[in-house]
Amino acid sequence: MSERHETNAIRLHRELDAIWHTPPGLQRLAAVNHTILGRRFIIAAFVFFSIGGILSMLIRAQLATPNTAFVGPEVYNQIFTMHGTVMMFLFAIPMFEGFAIYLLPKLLGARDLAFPRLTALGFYCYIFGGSILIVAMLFGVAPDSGWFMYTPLSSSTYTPGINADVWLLGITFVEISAIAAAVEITVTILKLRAPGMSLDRMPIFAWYLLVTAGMMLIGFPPLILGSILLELERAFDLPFFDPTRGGDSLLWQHLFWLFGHPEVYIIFLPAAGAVSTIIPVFARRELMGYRAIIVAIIAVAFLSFGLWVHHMFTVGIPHLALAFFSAASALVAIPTAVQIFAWLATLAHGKPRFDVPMLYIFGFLFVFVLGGLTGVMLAMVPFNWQVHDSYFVVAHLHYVLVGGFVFPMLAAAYYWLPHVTGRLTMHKISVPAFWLIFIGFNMTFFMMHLTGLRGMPRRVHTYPSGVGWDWLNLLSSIGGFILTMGFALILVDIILQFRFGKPYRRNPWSARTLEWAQPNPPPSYNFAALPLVDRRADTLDPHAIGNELAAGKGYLGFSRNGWQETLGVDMTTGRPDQTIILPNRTFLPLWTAIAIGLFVLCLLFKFYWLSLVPLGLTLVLCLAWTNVTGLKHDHGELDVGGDLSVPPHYEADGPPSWWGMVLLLACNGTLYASLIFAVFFLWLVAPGWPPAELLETGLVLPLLTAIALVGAALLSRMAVSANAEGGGALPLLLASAGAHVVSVGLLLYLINTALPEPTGHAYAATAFVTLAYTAIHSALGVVFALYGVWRIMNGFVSARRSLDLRIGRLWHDYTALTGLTGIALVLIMPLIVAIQGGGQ
Amino acid sequence: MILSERVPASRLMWLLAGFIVWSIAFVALYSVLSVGCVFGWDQVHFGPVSVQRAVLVALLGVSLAAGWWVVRITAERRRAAGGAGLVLRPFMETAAWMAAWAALASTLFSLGPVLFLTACH
Repeated sequence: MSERHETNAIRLHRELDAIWHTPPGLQRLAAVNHTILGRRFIIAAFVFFSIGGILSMLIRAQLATPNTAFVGPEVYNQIFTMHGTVMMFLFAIPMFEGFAIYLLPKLLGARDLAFPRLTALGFYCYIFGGSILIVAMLFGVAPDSGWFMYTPLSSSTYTPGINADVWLLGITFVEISAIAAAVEITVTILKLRAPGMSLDRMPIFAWYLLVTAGMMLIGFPPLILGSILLELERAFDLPFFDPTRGGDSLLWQHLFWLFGHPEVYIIFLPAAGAVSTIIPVFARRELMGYRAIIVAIIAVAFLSFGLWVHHMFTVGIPHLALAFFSAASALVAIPTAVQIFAWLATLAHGKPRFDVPMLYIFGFLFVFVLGGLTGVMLAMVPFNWQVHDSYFVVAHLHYVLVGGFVFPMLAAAYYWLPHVTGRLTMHKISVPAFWLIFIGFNMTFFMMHLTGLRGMPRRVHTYPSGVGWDWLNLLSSIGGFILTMGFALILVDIILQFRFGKPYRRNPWSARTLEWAQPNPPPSYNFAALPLVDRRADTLDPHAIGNELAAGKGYLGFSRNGWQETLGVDMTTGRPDQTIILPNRTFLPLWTAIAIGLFVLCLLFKFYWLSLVPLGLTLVLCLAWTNVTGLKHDHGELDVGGDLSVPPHYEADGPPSWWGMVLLLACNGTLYASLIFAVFFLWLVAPGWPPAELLETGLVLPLLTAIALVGAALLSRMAVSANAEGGGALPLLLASAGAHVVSVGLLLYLINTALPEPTGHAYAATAFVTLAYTAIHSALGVVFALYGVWRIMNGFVSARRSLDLRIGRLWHDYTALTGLTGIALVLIMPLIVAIQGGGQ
Repeated sequence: MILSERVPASRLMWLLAGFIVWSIAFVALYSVLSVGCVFGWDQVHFGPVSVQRAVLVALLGVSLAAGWWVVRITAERRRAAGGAGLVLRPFMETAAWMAAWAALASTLFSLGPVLFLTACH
């Protein structure tokens, strides 16, 4: 191994750039660099935002006057469904992901994200999934059941075409990207910070992103489960939502809003993080209430999971339950207000200077506070009943989402665009653009409060004249077009900045966070050396730090073995504990996303048997990802500069990939918990219970399955222990794989012989899904075990390098735990059903 | 290198502990309310109190006790860490203590209606 500590800045730059840069041409499709992918995410999100904006113009054109024949109800249904879907799933979430992907390593003083190839996979899944929706719209088969896809409207009885399938499959495809981003963001913040950046020194934006990513891991699985169940119902007639066969359409509403309400805060919190970063820069003082804000965002994150039923206040839930959700809905205003007062206090105690980002901050405060106040109104059950499904709700949600996301994101765009372009903002257009957006927005949506209070329902394609809605709708439509002009001006402004903006070297806003310590536009490797952070990371001096780092003075200020290296740290203290060797560019994420895309298309066009081919291909491609990871011999401690030596992450205790698997399993566990919730919900609430036929498994087969699952996990644990003691893991892993084969066989036998026909009743359908879930996980357990065998045989595993086996152990443990729960559930359900004769 | 003192990663969980108790309490009360309404617990009375009310109030009591326990633990750790400045250990312990209080107040406010509202109407 050759180690060279080269401090010549230009030479160092060339060496690092040779390792990290992405060549032009087709190689761009192999890019895994976070700067490139972050930019791509942002650009793609902006394109989808434009599409969503055009759809909103069509809506406003339709509703400008009464009795309009511009589009008919069928087309109008597709337009408003796609507007909501595009804005929520293809603009808001990916836009925040793009910002996070671009900024996070720069804010934290790292060279890239924890899983660069996962970032690339997420990007392609997002693009392909989004494209499926847009292409469907161009062919006139877009989803048309509203962006929340309520059953039974979206069930096959009332939506027999592929419109609903496009939504269910396309959005689930896109959600792969959201889950990937959530894992990526969480692990990066916890493990890939600059040395010395303990949790109390972390920039506030990182805290916001950490909490948001955690919310995504818990918030998205209920919707993913709901989408899978609804697609299973549509494709194979499993009646989860069909009240004539023990299902219940309210189950969909619960699963959707379990995701849907936290989603609002998942969108808001990153934007609030940007606000918390920008305000101190322009107030010229530190953020006030740093710790109180952290507590507040944790409170918001939790409380946001206790609000979902306020979307369902009119469905007939007991008053006491309504009170729980009403109280929690009102309560969430308090931690939100803590943040707002902290921002105001920062401004009040600072010496504020005004610039374009601050205009949008002002717009955010004005609009979002109004949206928050109508939110508290809607949290009150009697008022909610009055305005439910009216335009008042449309006004409220736009004040919250545009106020809470679009205005702060525009502030963020103007603030960080110079970082991307290396050029300064030209103010000539940006100020009038702001006023057009601000006036246009309020004109459009304030009127909707009034039309709503006057009784105008949502989602109507037209309305009669003379009921007091005419002039308000006309003003809304005029406002909508003014708003669009504002966004068009912003687009022109951005293009002008790229073309004519004045170049600068570093830190145009006199900010005090690490990303401004880089030259702009940023180099491919971010920092020539990694900094030591000895104070809060929003009180730094980027000029001084930037010059030091560019000269290679810091950690890892050299190149080694052609490796893409960055430092991994202890989660709380920021003490370096490993050097992380990141994988270089590859086409594998693209191929994998294409394979997943083919799988989705096969399902969409109902080629179910054929879909097994791209599914198998996806598995093979995922295994191919491991070809370039791992080391074939022990390296021990490696010098990382600053008199510090740490092991490569393959030899460390808690490397990013181990944490990534932990988080992925936590996410998976939430999906499984949602499935268990679905089982009990249907038993308690759905009509048509008890079912005519119950499962008759006996005790022997379930017991044998449980023994096989636990055995596989124990054997895997023994393999890890044997490996740590110097060998003997191979036969134990083979035995673990064998135990999984047995459990899969037993589960398939149970499904085939003991289960009543799954299409007959929701009870059998949920039992089928519960057993199938374990069977799939156990089948993947075979893959994990055999993968461990393969890695041992190829020299990637030693007593020090046991990561592959430890990741496998996590999977086997999880499979055993959920499998035992599932088997217990299947055994217990017939007893419970016998006790209580079904729903009320 | 100027580094913070060692603080185990498990301390991160204490930041969340109060609200984890709130979450469990929220799910438990909502579930038990639904089960009780289906099984007609509100129609069965122990003297002036229905079984439904008794179970829900008992659960609220347990939840508040658990939340108070988290407050006590975090308060002790905060005292042991010393001060409230921006040094890692006091920072973490104080934030955990603040979050625990916020969660306890949230439990009382959001689940308190079990004390006086009709259960299954």
